[in-house]
Amino acid sequence: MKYIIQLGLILLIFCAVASGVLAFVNSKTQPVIAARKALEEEQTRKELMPEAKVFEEKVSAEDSTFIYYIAKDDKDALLGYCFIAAKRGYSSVIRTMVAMDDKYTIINMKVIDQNETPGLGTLCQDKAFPERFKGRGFDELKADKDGGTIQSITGATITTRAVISSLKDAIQILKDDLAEIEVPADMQTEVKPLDKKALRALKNRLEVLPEAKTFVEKKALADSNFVYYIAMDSLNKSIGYTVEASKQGYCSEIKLLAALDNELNIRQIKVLNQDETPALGAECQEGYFLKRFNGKSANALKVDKDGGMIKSIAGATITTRAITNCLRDTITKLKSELQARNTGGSK
Amino acid sequence: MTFLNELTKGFIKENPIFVIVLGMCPTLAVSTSVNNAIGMGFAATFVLICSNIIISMIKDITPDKIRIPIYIVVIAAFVSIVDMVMAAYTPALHKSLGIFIPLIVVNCIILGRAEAFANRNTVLSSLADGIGMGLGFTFSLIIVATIREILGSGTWLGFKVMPVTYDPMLVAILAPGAFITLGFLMGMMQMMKNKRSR
Repeated sequence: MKYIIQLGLILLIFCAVASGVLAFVNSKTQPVIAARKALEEEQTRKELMPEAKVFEEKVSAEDSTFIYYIAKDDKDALLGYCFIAAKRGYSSVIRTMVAMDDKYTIINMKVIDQNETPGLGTLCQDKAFPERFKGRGFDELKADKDGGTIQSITGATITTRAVISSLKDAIQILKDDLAEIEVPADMQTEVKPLDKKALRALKNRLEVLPEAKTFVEKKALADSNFVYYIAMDSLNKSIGYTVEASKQGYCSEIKLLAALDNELNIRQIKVLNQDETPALGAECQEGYFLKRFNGKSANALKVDKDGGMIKSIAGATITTRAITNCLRDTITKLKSELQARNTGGSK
Repeated sequence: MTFLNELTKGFIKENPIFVIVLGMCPTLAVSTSVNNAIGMGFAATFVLICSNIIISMIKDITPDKIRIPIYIVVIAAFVSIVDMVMAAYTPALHKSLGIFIPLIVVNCIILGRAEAFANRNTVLSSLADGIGMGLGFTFSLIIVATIREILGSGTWLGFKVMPVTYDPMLVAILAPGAFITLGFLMGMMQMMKNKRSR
């Protein structure tokens, strides 16, 4: 026993000395590494936008990890934006620095960090690759394999797709952050005009239930994490509900917003967030698919492959099933919540 | 004599890659270009020398039962130092070696030399062994990388060496190319050895 403790102590001493040395080296190199990284990024920004004199740093209100720069020339006129888009490619996270003009058209870009397959995916760092993106707007960002016009790197479609999709995500966040969100003037709301996240949520609710004039936020009695909104018209009469729901799809978390009428039949749904397989599961945000749910009650929500009525997206049954089941579960939950409130109120 | 012996044995007689066949993972992974090979080779050599010296120094106070964990602590500490120093002062090299630097920790050449040599020899000969084995490793990596880079990208150390019309043989810089090259080199090494012993 004594021997074991002795061994443990010796090992402890070794580890303590090693950690001490490491802490010392880390304290010396950390600032150098950070400064070098910042300098490198600054140089890349200048390389991409040589006309810009000032880069104003901004942090996205919704996603605090997303930092972008507003580029201005010497007369303080807006030139565009600069940011880093990142996404996992085939074997590494690919980070791309992008410069855009004020109309969200790509001026130039550069892949600054990647570890893809040598000779294939690594070609994204060649001069030829950014050329394929220059002058393109948000809607033109689509690989040729997905029906777009951006030429993929031969043998590295996944790398190409990752870069494109990282750009789209980043531009979306940038647009969202810069956009002024307008809410109809007669809308009764307590949301502060600066709270973009809340404003956007309100805008989404309005999109699925345009007739509403007020949304009253309610928390479920049984589960305070379950939030839903009662939509009222101008006479303060309830015209339905909106509720958010999410579920794991095939390769991503799918977030939905559903508008229901007073009988809890679906009026309209909207996909807030998904990252499913392009051209298959990603079809779930298209209007033709979302229409399949309109007018359905909880009992009618069943995928055709499971003997129900909801037609699946070809090749994306798992995505369809996730959405359908998610809606059914959420509506059922809302139903029991409303019943609980009713019986509670009549007592 | 012995010092010189320890220094040179790593190149041919006890070459860590072609003869002892240690440290295959980094060999296969980073030998895509000569630049990477040199970086990886010297980083591993540095760690090997340092860990050999320290382990030989502490061999008398290291209880036999827990020597392996202690070796790992020493090696891991040096690797982390190399990682941080490289990130701070040679960022380009650090970027291209990427995840292979932490892999030096489990490079069996280093643990293998600690176990087989440094813990039973003097500090001086352990230093010689570290230098010899490290340079032998670097040397072998460069040979493998030279073949792969010339065939696979048509360049050597980044300079074009093949005629413009040469269409790079992509397989050479992908994983199969590493195994094929290594196989041929090992075979040649063995052939030379057989000839000499005859």
